[in-house]
Amino acid sequence: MLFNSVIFIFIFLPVTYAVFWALPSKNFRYAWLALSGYIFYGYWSRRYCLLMAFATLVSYLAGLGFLRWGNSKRIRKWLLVGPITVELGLLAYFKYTDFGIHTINAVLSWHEIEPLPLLNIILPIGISFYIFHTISYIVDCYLEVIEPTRNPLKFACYVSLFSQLVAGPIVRFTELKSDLEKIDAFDRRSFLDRGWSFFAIGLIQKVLIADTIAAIIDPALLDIAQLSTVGAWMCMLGYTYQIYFDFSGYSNMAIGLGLLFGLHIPQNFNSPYRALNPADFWRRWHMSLSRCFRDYVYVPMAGRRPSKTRLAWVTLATMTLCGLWHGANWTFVIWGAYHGVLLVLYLRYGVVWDAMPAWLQRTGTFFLVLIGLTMFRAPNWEYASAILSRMVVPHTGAELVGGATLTVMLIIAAGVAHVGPNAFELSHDWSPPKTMAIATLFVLCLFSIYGANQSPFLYFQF
Amino acid sequence: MIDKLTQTFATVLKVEPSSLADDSSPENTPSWDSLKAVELVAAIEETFHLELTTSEIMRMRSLGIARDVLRRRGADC
Repeated sequence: MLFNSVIFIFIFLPVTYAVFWALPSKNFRYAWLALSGYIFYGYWSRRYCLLMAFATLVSYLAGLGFLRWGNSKRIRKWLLVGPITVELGLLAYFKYTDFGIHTINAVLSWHEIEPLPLLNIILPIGISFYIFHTISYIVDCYLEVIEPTRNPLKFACYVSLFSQLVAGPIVRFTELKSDLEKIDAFDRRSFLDRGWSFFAIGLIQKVLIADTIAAIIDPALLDIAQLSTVGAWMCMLGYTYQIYFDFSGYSNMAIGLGLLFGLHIPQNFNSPYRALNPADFWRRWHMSLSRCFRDYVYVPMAGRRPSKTRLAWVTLATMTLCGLWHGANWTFVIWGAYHGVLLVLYLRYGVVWDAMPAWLQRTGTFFLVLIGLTMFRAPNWEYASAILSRMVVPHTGAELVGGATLTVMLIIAAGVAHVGPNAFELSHDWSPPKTMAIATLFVLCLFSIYGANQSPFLYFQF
Repeated sequence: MIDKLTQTFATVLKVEPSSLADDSSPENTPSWDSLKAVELVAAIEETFHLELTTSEIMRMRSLGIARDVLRRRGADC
């Protein structure tokens, strides 16, 4: 089920909301939110609900294990390694098996050996996100950052919370714990304005900006041989804004939905296209993922007093893994490694970069991100190099269909992304002109959605 | 009076010690990025003359947790 669908906005959300606030106690509310999460997920695949339930059970039992055998160092290690192996095993099987076979087949083909058959495994939506939720819970229990919960309903509610289930933000248990504790003590109206405002802003970002741009660039990118150099630049510029408004729109909707139920989901995007350098970009882009990679991969890999060389390798390895997390394709690995190289170069030559005027740093960072996104958008390396070559070497081509609309959309998107405030910088208090403006755009979104224009979020594929 | 741990954090993060509290973390302290997290480990080890384990390093996600880790190790912070 999509946030930007008729069934979600007109049936699922009102019913979930009304029943939630009518329920009298914590456990009823946990159970209702958990159940609604499974209904939300089951709308896509009932079979894969079992997979989510299994991942939830494994991490919940690991938590109970930490409570029962918390004093034994040896058992604690097993409780960390065992369940994480199971969780990562699920992710590896469902997400990376066919990728591994593809890669092996490529090597076999060089030696003219018969290829292995693909398993054609269907990727469960959101598996990368909920597995990260469960793994972060196990690690945080091991580190004693959190006390494991004994309440299975509360834990199931956390993992299957529909607002963050399929595309994040990646919210750690520690970040939601106090809200979950007080889930029966909130005043329904406390966050109502803010919640709806975030949801509406997210929907506007997704439907009116990201989807409008996508409607023009997607057909053009199907046949890149027809693209001129200007067309290639416009398409990639369009994609750079599309992915931002798509994902930050989704995140804002998730944050707004959380608030409607009294839950504070942390900020996921802080105007990343205003970043001054690659390091600053990763502090602003998909912040919840960056935090996870920092705390669970980078910091332990860096260890104690690392040399500059070791730190460079650790940065490169962390970003390459981050790329692989995004998708089972070498283009994502290359995209991650590319950002790793940018970060290492910034680590080494940051003084030179920082000496440039701020506008040049911002423009340079944006340009480097855009170049990286050609690999992110491409289905394979040949496609990525073809589009990069069209951008670099002057080409003539067919006129871009919808080019004038795209130009207008790029100007609007650039204004909002580079200059305008993000959703966290806005005041969400009631004021008639602002509310009218948001309500008008929200209604436009509804018309667009009702007109069957319901495209999935780009990050659903991860 | 500013304690030794807060002073160490302030020096590494290049902020006023008065701006730090036990709930200071990378989420609410802009200069506390991944590189500073690594520098903090080295600075803490040097100041308190001890070697932190990987688990302890991973736990230190706020000044308050770092204080808790060091107190468990018997450090005066």
